[in-house]
Parts: sequence; C-alpha cells; structure tokens
Amino acid sequence: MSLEYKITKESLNEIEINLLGEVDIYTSPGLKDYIINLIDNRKNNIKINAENLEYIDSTGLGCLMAVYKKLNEYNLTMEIYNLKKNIYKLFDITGLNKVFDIKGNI
Amino acid sequence: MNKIKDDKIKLMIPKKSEYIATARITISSIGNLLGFNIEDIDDLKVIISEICIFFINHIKDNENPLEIEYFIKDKKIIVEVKDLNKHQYVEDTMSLDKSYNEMSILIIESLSDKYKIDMENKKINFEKYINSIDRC
Repeated sequence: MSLEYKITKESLNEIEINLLGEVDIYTSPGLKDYIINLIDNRKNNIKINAENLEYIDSTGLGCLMAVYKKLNEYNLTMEIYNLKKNIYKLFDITGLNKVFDIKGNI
Repeated sequence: MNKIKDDKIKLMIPKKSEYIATARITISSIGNLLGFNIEDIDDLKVIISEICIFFINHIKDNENPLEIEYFIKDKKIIVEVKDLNKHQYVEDTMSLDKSYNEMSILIIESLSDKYKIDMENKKINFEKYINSIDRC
C-alpha cells in the first residue's frame, strides 16, 4: 500500500489533510515536500486526520517533526487526530506524543 | 493448525527504500502463520523496517542488497538482517540522520524481546516471542 494525501477541509486559518495508507521511508519525502510547500504558500495551521493512516516509521515521524518545525517558524500549529493505537504507540515510544498536539480517543 | 517450526526463509532485497515494504509484507505473512496477534504483527513490521532504515542511513553504499533471514521457531521468530555492502558503518554525530537513527534503535529496543546490533559484521538480529495467552 502506498500513500495518498489530500486536503479535506479549508478555512481562513486552517487546512485539514487526510492521510491514507503508509508514511514510510519511501513515501515520507513526498509528503514532507507537499506539506512544507503548503505552509510556505498559505501560512495556515495544519490539522492532520490520521483515521486512514495504516503505518508510520521513524522517517514518517521525522517528516512530521520537519512540518512541526516549519510551522513554528511562522508561529503556526499542527494538530493530529484519529491516530490508531498501533501508530500512537510509536509516538509514545519516541516521546513525540509530548511534542505534538494529539487529539482523539486512543 | 499444524505446528510450524524450524523453517527458514531468506529474502534478498535491493537496498532501496521502495523495497522495504516487501520485507514488511513477508514478516506480516509469517507472523500471521505463526499465530502472532495483530498488535505483535504490527510490531514485527515496524522492527524490520527500522532495521532496514538504519542500514540505509548508516551505510551509504547500496550496490549490494540487504539479506534478510527469517528463522521460524516453535514459539518465536528470529530475524537477521545483513547489509552486504562493502563500506563500513560510520557513526554520524552531527546530522539530522543521527536523531533518526536514535529513533530507529529506540523503536527496535522497545518492540522486540531481544535484539543485537553487530556493526562490525553489518548485521542486526532480533527475536519476538508469541504471547502464550494468545496461543490458547
């Protein structure tokens, strides 16, 4: 399974992106470029719907870190919600659950 | 289900990011066959990927493949990944790669029952046991 990502909601100051599939060493560079370009061009907060995210690895977590740092440059925020239990586990192991704003039942 | 044990599967994948999913799919299939629960199969997929990522990040040479051996035992799986490239492991102390590699090791350590990193011989192996409660 590869990765699909698309904007599902847009408001004046926020863009919601739905991730579908796997954010791994192969797909994460493309995702990182896509979101970072979006931030540079639109200067909006980012909300990530992870309901259909099936898998993430350390490079995927690194991609989210890069997005988080880019948002910080503009004083913008990122929210991640609907994470599956097996994926949240990796945020917990790496301590990134304390860095990112994670919402929803896990 | 028949007891499956003492079998071995060897997989050679090009040392390229697009083939790591192949190693993941293989371990998922073996884990399912052995009776690992869904959560442990997810762990196995993550561990094998992180080992491959570690080699890709640490040994830049990629002319030769990664050799992955899956040893199927009665109550556990042992997996060994070897980087067949000539270049030696170089510890990166400065770049962003270092934090990614630390993250990889942290994940491998947390999700496996036993692991060993042998960078002199460019191989990493790990073991994961089948939860006895799940096997009832």
